[in-house]
Amino acid sequence: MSIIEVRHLRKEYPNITPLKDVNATVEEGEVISIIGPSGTGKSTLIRCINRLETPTSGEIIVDGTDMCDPSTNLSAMRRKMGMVFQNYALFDHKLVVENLMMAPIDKLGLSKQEAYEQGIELLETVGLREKALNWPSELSGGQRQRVAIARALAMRPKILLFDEPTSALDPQMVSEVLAVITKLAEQGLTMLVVTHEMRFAQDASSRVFFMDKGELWESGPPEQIFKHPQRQETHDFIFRVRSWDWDINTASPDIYGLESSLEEYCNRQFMERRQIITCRLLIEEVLNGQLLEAAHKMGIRDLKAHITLTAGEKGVDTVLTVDWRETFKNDEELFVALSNEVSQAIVIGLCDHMELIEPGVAKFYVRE
Amino acid sequence: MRRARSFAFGLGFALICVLVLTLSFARAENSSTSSGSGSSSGQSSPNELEINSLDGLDGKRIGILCGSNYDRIIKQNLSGTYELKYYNTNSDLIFALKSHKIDAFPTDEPVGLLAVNRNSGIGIIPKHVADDDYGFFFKKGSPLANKFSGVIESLKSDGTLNRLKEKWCGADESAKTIPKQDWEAKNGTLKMATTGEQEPLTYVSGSQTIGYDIEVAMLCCKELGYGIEAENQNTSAMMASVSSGKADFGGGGISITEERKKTYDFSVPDYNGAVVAVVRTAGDKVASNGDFWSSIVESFNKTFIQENRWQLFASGLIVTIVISVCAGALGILLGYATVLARRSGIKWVGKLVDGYQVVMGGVPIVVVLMVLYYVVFGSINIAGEIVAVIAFTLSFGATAGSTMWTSISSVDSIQEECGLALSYTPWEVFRKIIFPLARRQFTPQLLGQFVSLVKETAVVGYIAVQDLTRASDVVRSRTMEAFFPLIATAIIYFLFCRLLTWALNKLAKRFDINNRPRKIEGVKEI
Repeated sequence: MSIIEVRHLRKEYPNITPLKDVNATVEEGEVISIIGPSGTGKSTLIRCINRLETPTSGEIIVDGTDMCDPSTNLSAMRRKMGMVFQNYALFDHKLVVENLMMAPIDKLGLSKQEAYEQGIELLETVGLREKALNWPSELSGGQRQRVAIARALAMRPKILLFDEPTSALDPQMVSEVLAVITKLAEQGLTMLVVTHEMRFAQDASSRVFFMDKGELWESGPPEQIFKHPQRQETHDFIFRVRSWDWDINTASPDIYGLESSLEEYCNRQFMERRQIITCRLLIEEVLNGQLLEAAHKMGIRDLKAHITLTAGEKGVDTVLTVDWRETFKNDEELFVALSNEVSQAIVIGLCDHMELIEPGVAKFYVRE
Repeated sequence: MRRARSFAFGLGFALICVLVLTLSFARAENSSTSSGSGSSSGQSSPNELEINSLDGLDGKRIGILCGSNYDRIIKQNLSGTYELKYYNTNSDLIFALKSHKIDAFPTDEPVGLLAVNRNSGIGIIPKHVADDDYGFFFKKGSPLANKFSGVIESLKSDGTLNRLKEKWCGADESAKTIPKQDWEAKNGTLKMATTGEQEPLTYVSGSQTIGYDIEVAMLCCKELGYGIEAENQNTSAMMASVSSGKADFGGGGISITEERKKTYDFSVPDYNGAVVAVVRTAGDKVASNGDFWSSIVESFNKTFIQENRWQLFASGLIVTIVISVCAGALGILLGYATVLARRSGIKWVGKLVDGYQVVMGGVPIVVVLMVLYYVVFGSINIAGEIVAVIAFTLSFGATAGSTMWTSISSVDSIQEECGLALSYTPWEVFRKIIFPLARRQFTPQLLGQFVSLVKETAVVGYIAVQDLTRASDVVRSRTMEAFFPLIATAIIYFLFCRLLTWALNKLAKRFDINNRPRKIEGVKEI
């Protein structure tokens, strides 16, 4: 029997319907990543599963019990399901280890000593044994989230629900939390993880749900979802999240905004530092050394260009595409634009090779 | 340490303020006073008066005792225009006169004589403003009025009243005692409302209310087979007490007027007196510095030492503390109850709490106090202290409740969901997570509000409760000195509130979880 069964789940609010008709089953021990664009009901789905939200219609069966039945003891059912929230929500009035002791003492009937020892043990598994007697406010975001995970584990749940566990974290703290979740995934706990971390979804989960517009479009092993998506919507989404793009509409574009956005994307793709710098230099050179220079020479004020970066698997096949067809409409202009030889040399130095797809569209294969 | 220093600083600052004030007021008060014994020596001769005829009062500022009928008497007996200003006690009037806030005030002859005896710089215009008779007043239709009249007539005819008048207006302080209640109160005990501020007719000595009118009332009660219990309150409160049935009768320098007769039944007069005008005497303004300290010592003596008046202050302070502490504790419980009521999620309950808090926020506490005492509990025999506790509980409950609610609402809703996800029930979530988190935020605010509550209780005198402020009123009415008892009261309040703030902060710090040691009780650490 499946541990979680969701049938025709629908959730309506007065002005929005985050879940239209969702059907899904989860087997015991599965690690499910739920991906999809923002605001498409992913969080609502897992919040319905432990009934923080009340569904409008449909059925949710967890471990054989109908969660929507009014006679269901929600408190008892929630004991089987730990939940980790986006902004950790540690109880600031309790020491770190006490955060882990409270519910087990009150709800599992553990003695104080047992709860304490279990708490310490769990802190050890998330690498925070030393912080047991700290106040939550003294921890970093990543550390707090790890404590929150340990707190959920302290209730010895069968199922763990994660609601975007890394979305509120600074980029450099994401990996420590993902590492902990990945480790748990290997231990046979049933987990549902709403996430925007594609790398995590691909590497750590046994199955991926792709959700969009309140519906579950496709579910399957990561291989299928990321490499051979069956549906067009999935394909488009995967391509979108796997690439980074930036529109330029002026001859003096916001270089800093562009670079920080690029950096964030590269970090999310787990690109190496060296390659991130290469990408940045390449874009800078193409922009400053060629496009902006050409625009300046020719007195063009409304420079229009579209830049796309697609990270390849483990750094291979990282491709930068620059599309300036809207600005330079004929070959002659293009020739002028690309005539800066010094810049040309630098660009070629940063690339494995480059190709001109058509006049005004160039592809640069970033050096590994 | 820092707190201690700031406390010491506050104290020092207060003392300096007091000294400066004392210096300036002492000049105004100019109190090279006589010892306070009620002799008739030291009365200023009329030719020194700033205003020496009733006609001279035309266009002047006249002080009127609140709740008295002197304003009516002035209008009926004097021609001309006056600016009337109202004051709560005789000692306020004397002080106002000395500090040139008014130019004269009418008062009963015996009161005026005592005031002049005890204060330099004031005197009485020889011509009476009006003749004035005092009597006891009863709720309309009370059979007691006629019974009292009968006894008073017989006391008059056998010369007892004259004897009493000599005794109470005389110089022999030691003779001024009232008899023991050794008779049998076979018809029950009567409650007498009196001001206790009209020496020698009614005043407080030690912890006892005594005076001419008190003794006459006792003789009446004895004759009629009643016990008697005198309760002090200010004039307007005492009128309300009698009409609401809180007291069986009132008396003590209360003039019998046509207007009052419409509302109350009066006995025949037990004292035939007069209304006189008290004015400043000219010259003799500056007290020399040599007198300064001795006058302070003198005032201190009169205010605290004589007749063990410190006991009045002490018992007043205790009443203030008891009322504040009870109202504080009950108010916090009430506030907590409003929070629970709001959290119940039932719409009309929430509306009810809203309404309660809006009403309490918009009505002055003194009005709430009087409405409760004279209207809501008007027909029930209930101690003023209990009504005061109820009123301040209601008031503090409203503020405490909304303070708590604000803090509780500001706790992130994620904390609540988190508790639910940990399988706590909604009530457990509130009790174990939301409330403790909010408590850290609202505790300091509640402590501050509690200290304000202590100060706000100063108005309980309106319903005949003898608190600290009221104690100082009573003492002022005896010493006829406005300044010193007032400042002394201010200092007592100030010190008490500082002490309270300090102690509460210390307590709060002790219970503040962020100050607790980083260890877990009852656990063997590993």
